[in-house]
Amino acid sequence: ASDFTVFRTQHYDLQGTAYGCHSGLVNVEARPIESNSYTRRCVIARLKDVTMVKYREMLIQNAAALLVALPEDLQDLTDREREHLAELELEMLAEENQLPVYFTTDSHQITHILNDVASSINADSAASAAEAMLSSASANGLQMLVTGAASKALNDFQVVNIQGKLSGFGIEEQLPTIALVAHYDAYSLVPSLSYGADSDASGVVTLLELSRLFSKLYTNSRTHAKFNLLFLLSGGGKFNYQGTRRWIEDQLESSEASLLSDVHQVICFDSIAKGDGLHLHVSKPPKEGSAGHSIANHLEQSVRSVRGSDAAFSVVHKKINLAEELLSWEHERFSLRRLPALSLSHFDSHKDQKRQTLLDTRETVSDETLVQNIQVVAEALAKHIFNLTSEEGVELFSDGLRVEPSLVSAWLSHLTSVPRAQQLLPPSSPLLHSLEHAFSRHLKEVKRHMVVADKRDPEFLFYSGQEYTMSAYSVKPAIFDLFLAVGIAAYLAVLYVAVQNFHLVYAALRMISGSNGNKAKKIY
Amino acid sequence: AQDIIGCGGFVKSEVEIVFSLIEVKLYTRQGSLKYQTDCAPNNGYYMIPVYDKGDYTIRVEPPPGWTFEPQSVELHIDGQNDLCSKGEDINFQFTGFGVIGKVISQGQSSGPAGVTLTLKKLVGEETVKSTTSVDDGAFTFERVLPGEYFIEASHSVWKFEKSMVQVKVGRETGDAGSDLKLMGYDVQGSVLSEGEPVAGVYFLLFSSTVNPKIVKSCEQGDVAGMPHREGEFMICFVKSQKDGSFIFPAIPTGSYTLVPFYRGDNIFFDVQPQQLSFSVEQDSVLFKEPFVVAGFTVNGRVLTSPNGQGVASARVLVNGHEQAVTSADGTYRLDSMRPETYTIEVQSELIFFDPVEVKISPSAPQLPDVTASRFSVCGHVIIDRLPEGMGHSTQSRKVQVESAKTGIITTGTDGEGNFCFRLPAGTYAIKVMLSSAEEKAGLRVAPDVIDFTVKDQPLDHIKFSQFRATVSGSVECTEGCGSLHLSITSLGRSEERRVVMTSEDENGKTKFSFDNIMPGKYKVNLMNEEWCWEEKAKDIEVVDQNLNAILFRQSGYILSCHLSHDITLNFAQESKPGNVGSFNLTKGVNKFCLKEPGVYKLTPVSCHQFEQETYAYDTVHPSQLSMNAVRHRVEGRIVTQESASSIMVSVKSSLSPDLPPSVIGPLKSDKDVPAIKDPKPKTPVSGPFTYKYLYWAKIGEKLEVSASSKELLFYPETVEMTIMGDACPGDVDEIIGKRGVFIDGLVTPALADVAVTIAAKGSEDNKIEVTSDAKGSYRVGPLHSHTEYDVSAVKEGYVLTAIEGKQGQFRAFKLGQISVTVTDQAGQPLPGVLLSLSGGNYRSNQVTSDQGAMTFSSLSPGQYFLRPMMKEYSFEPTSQMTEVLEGTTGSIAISGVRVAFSCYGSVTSLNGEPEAGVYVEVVGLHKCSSSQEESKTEPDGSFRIRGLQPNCAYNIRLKAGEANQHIERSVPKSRILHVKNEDMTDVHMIAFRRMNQLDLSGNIIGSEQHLNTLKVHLYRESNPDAPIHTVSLGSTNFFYLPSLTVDNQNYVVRLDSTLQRSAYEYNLSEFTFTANTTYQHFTFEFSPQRKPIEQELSQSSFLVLPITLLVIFISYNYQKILPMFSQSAASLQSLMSPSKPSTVHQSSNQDQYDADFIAELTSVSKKKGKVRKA
Amino acid sequence: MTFFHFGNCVALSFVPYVIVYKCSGLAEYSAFWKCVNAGAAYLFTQLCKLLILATFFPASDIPDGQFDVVGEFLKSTVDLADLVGLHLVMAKSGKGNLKFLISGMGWATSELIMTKFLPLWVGARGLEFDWKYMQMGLDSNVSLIHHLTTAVLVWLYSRTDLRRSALPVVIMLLALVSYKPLIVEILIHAVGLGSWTLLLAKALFTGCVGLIALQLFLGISPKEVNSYY
Repeated sequence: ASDFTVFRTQHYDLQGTAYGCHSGLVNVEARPIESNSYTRRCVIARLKDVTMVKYREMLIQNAAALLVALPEDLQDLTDREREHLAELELEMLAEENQLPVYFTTDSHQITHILNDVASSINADSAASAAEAMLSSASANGLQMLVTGAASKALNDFQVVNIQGKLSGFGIEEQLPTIALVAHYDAYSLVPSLSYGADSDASGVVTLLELSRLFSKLYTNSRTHAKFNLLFLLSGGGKFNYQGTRRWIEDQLESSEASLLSDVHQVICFDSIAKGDGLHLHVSKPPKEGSAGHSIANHLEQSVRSVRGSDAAFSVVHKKINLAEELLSWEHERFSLRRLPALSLSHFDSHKDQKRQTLLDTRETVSDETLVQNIQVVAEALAKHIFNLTSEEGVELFSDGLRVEPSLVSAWLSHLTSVPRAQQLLPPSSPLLHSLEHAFSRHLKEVKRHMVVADKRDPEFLFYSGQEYTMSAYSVKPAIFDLFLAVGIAAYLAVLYVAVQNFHLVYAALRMISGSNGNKAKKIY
Repeated sequence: AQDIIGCGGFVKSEVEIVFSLIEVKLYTRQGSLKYQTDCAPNNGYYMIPVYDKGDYTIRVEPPPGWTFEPQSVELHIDGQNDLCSKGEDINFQFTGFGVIGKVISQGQSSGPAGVTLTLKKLVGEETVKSTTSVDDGAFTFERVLPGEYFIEASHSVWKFEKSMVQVKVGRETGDAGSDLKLMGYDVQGSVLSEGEPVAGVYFLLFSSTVNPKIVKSCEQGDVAGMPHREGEFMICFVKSQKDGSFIFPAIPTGSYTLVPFYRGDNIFFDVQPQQLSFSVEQDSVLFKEPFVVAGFTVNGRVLTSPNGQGVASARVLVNGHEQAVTSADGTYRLDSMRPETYTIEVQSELIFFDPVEVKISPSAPQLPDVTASRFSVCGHVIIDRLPEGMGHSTQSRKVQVESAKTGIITTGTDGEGNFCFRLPAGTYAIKVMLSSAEEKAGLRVAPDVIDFTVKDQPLDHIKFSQFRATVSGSVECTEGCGSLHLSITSLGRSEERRVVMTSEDENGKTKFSFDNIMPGKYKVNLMNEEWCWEEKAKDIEVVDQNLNAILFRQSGYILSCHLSHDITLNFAQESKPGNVGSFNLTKGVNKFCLKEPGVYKLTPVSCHQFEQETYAYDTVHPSQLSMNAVRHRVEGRIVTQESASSIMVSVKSSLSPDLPPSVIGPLKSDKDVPAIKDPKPKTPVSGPFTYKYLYWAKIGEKLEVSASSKELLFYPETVEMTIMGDACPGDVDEIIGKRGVFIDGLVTPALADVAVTIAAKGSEDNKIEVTSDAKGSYRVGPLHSHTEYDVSAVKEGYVLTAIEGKQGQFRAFKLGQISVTVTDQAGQPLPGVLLSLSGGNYRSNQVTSDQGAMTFSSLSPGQYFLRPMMKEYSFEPTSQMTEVLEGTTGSIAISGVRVAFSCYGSVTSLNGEPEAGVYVEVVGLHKCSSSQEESKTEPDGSFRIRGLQPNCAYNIRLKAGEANQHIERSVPKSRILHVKNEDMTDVHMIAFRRMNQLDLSGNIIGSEQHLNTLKVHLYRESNPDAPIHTVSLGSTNFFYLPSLTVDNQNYVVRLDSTLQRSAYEYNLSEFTFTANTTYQHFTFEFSPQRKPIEQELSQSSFLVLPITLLVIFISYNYQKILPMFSQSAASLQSLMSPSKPSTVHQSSNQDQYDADFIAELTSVSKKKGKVRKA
Repeated sequence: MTFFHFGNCVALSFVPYVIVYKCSGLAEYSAFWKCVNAGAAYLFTQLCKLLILATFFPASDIPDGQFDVVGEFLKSTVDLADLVGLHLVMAKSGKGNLKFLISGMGWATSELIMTKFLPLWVGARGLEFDWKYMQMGLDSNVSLIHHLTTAVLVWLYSRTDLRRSALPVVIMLLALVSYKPLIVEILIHAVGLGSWTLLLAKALFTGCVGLIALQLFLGISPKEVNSYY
């Protein structure tokens, strides 16, 4: 009887539509994916075998559960497997279904189970009925059991936004404000495996590093710019940027004049730790001479100088499609409220699924690229707020003010050491505490802004139960016990008979002993 | 434009030299050449423009061999108080060429140092300079003007072969060659025998290398019996003088050996060391170690007197330690003596001897006699009653002996009064010394003096013993004395005063007496204040008998009065008209005697007014009068030559400052006849007229007296006077009246509005300014006649020289002018060009105005040299000589061509704050890499670098190193400037200040739940036990340490946990780093494993098995053992009652335990049994 | 299937005891209580053995990898106490040659109950199916024979009329029987027998010892045999 932890797939309601599957507990017999009867069976398979056809088959035959074994190291997936996983992620999250899917990492236990399960297959496909009878009787089946609390809805789950600010040189209200935003949660098919190293651990690290560098600049009166800097780590980023939406509403409607009232430019960061360049996503192209335009120029110029002249840089213009339910970039939340905003990412299109995948783990991310991108942003931002003409060779952030690679990689590993699905990040989570601690080290008026779905029609609803322990018992079929009982009865009968006429044995022995017994007498 | 500071001066030289060959250069402190110029050919004037303040050195660089004084001048130009800004000249005096040569010793190529050489002019032999030769004999003369000279060498000790040589100095350094030659060097030494110098010791000089012939200065030939040395020549020999020293006057350089040789009349003495080898280099030789001659018995006698009998058993000490004792007849013997001087002392009980200084020499074995010098004389002093004053007396008295021969000798007595003397033979007088206090206290000793004589035997029988008196007298009064008191006090001694009452004896005389008075001086005093006595106190002296005739007589009655000022007091008695007199009394309390009793009338007479005119006094009731003065009389005088009718005197008093001064006058002079109409004209009365005035003033009043009149001036104008209280205030200082004086003068040729200033000599303050009128004349007056005045006149463009003799007369010269206009290529006027004009001893440096023009005015006629200067420009013509005639105005036009360009820019911080005081430097690249220019940013952050050569590439950057210590880096680091042919503008640099703060942070990887047990310590590596900062990990695994300053020291960051080592297995890592960057991040691994809880081992050994067997054996045949066991148990019971029950108990529960077990077993089996049945 | 499986196992292990008890005629002689006494004796001896083991033998913590022969040997010498226990039981139970049967029977049943019943109850009823419960059942049968033979041997040992020559054989057999678990352990470690083969080996071992003992038994008491009937 071996047991191992398994992770449930996403299960949440977003703006009315439900995603993922409700039921969670399982207590059925296991079947390999090759077998063609799935009804009320727990199908166990390796990732590469789970094809779309099979998955739909399972849905139709309403299998009891599906256990997918992910390879030990997610990196050495073959390309085909990557496609598989991508399709799976898409398909499974498309709409609500009844098939609870579990993921686990491949280990010798799993392989052992898979072999057992494979051997039990031949019972179905045996040549003759008797043989089938016999094999099904004797073959030992596997009982898969998932126990624990069933998943229930976490209503009034609090999503946390952390904000901090650096006030500029002069009276705070009259100075223009630049907001830097990044969502800290990650999303993939499996909440407990969603590390989101690129899709937005990189953004969070960028914000932390910028806060450190600019707080160092702002402490010295000679390098104190006339701009307020506002830093926001928003939650619920992967759930249609709920945290940001509510934060903007509160800021704009709040009584006392918040910094957001005359924001000069909002810059959002979403996965800038990979790729060979940076792309600027805007809802409408920035007008000539506006802040956005000057920042874009500075960015292009510093990408050329820091990342090398061959690095890619482009301004991607994508109009917000109100019909679509889910927004594509975080800056669109700001653009909806007519605030000048842009998003910075190494993806050149929003359709790219790599922002919501399991494979987005720490190893896939290059610290070097992230450090360079942070320096690009820092240089551009500094040149904008100190309005320096950006001729070549001007490198502000070096020596004393350089971006600290060791700190960046430490934060990156710390953020990706814990799965960061929003469901797993309640207000009490230590990760949020460490982020807030880091912000309060560098910024002022660091506050937590709580977002709760409203009572009547909640925009988002999370469910508990992301991680279970599944145990597999090797079981004999019931008939087998019958056979066994018969066997024992026969044995007992024989024994009875043997004991009854023990004296025959006795006599036989005597004859032998008698013969040699006389001999023995003679001898002794 | 910046203000340009010019540093100029003259290259001076008496002798005619070519000035143009001399260059003057300006270097920065770091040594890079800034500017160079050559001197004006006519007067050697040079001018260097300096654009930036800072530290420079100006250095003269003449052709080789020329020397100047000074060679270079350090300058710290800060615009106010350095030489150039104050416009003073920096002059360089040409001091001449150099002369070199060498002195050599005979047969060598080099010579000694320390030879004095004097350079003398060939004609006239007047010494120019003198110097000494350096170590190999070479010598140099500096600053020698060209001409014919000869050099003479001389030395205090050494002799010269050739001591004169000639040298000629032309256009370059003169060389005297090396033909001054020394004959040799002196060799000296000394010889002693027993510390005594020995004369007549021969010293022979041998040498293997030197040829004896070249040595001239000492005798040669042989000495009888002298030792010979093979292979060496005997050069010469010398004898030692009386003081033991010997000298070879001149020995050439080489190696020698010296041999000493000494023979007495018939004995030989050996001399150490036998031989001494030495070598003569370039210096005289002195043997520090003296040579030493290597030693026989003496006897003597001790007598009481020169030919008296001997003193037996007296001890003889030689040099302080005893060596012999005299025999009965006083003789002694000393042996093993060396020929030295010794001190011999003889000691015996009652006879004393003086130590004798004796010199023992082999020639005189017999010592001189030692005669006795002193004998002992003893005695006794008895004193039984001491005077009171001497409360404690020193036990020992001083006794003094006096004689013609020995003078006064004193000694002290011991406890009982005994004393002893040591006296040479002769007659003596002895007396006991009483201290002056004792004598005053009246201590006498009898007899005073005792005389005795000492022949040749000690004496001991002298004795001394103590003397007391009474004092009495009478008192006579005019009318009955009544009882009076008298007191007697001793003078000198501090005894207490004794008072006694007078008593009436039978015939009405008042008498008194004192008794038991010790001898000494006393004072008897009559204590009565009302009456006058002829003598109130009498001094008496008690010598050695009683005194009884002391008489006191009354002389009158005392009047005492208190006065505020000195007065003379007249007194008259109403009852007796004849009794009249006057007394001169002083300020304060006065006491004087009135003969007759009765009532008196007193009137004070002085320059003061008193409260009452007259005062009354009655002798019967004596009381103290007091008289205070109220006002004082003040007088003053004014003396004039001529009579003046309108002299008024005004007196201002300090007591009433607001009242108008009281005016006295018009004063009448003493010669004024009362104004009676007198028809005939009065002859003018001549001679000095004095006018008097009078004023009553109070005490402490300050008066200001000033006189005024129409015709006269009074010296001094006002006189101050303060009234002192005591003496009669004297007169106010005399005021003199005088007629006024007028001054007038003329300027020829007539010149209008010449500014004439008249100032009293010496006093700077009251200067009077007047301008001349059209005809050039002016008049000033009235002035005080007695002071001297000096008159000076000034007019723009003219030189006014005073004509001797006539004061106030001037002659005017119109001065010449030079007007210069400077234009650039485009013909526009060029402002800011520095024009330096010099001629004769005139020089001026002016900067052209915005119109590019400049006029040098008031130039006295003569030749002038003009040179225009401006950085980045070259001028055509570069310099110009012009002639200025009297009154003419010359004009010069100069055109400037822009040669170099300058670069304007600014250095600001990141947010635009200007960075003042930052050094920006420009270094030339490729072909013009030699030039380097720099400048400092102004307070507003801007800078201008001048002197950039056209079509040259420059690299502009912030200067590294010392200058910009506080700047860490600049953005952009450096920029290339391509200078075409116009200025470069707005080169903007951003300067980052040095961040000296190091931030520290870190994170922990590993188990979450043990986080709160962790602490991070930061240590300095130098003391690893005292943590500087400690941060405990809260709930996050990131921690931030307070920042450190970047100080390049080593620090240690260490993790520390409070988990017990026993329960957990973990290791703590640490990082060391040096604080030289601005950020450090540390990642710690912390993953404690829980230790497996191992059971505790039961340590039982195999020994237990036999024990159990024994137990079994016992239990097996227990019948035998049991009775024996219970018996011994009973006996034990009484001893250890408590212990037994517990063990029993324990064993019992053991059995009970078994029983339960069995019971339970049976029950179980019963149950099972049931089960089976079912 | 779990309880059903439990039933099978219990049947396999307990029923043979009942059969032997019934068929060997003990029932008639109301030997039941004697068997219970034998069971109690068994328990008592087991307790003594445990006590001796616990106090005298240092619990040496040998890592379970190697096999400490000496320790095991000493431990199994303690098993001799069983023989003593049997001997005592037989001494008390009187009645000729039935003694060994009663005592053997009682001893075996109590051991069966004590060692086998609880694991069966816990394990067999669990979801997990495992062959080891079956093996336990068969093993209990083998141990029945084993205890009977030991009882016979002990009885033989205490018989005075035993042939001299057979005494050493009896002693050797006794030693063999008492050291059986040691031998089994050695077999497991040395040869590495599988679970089923081990069971077979035990069965054979007990079988031949039983036969020899039977032969010996027959050898010495031809007349009692008849009474036996």
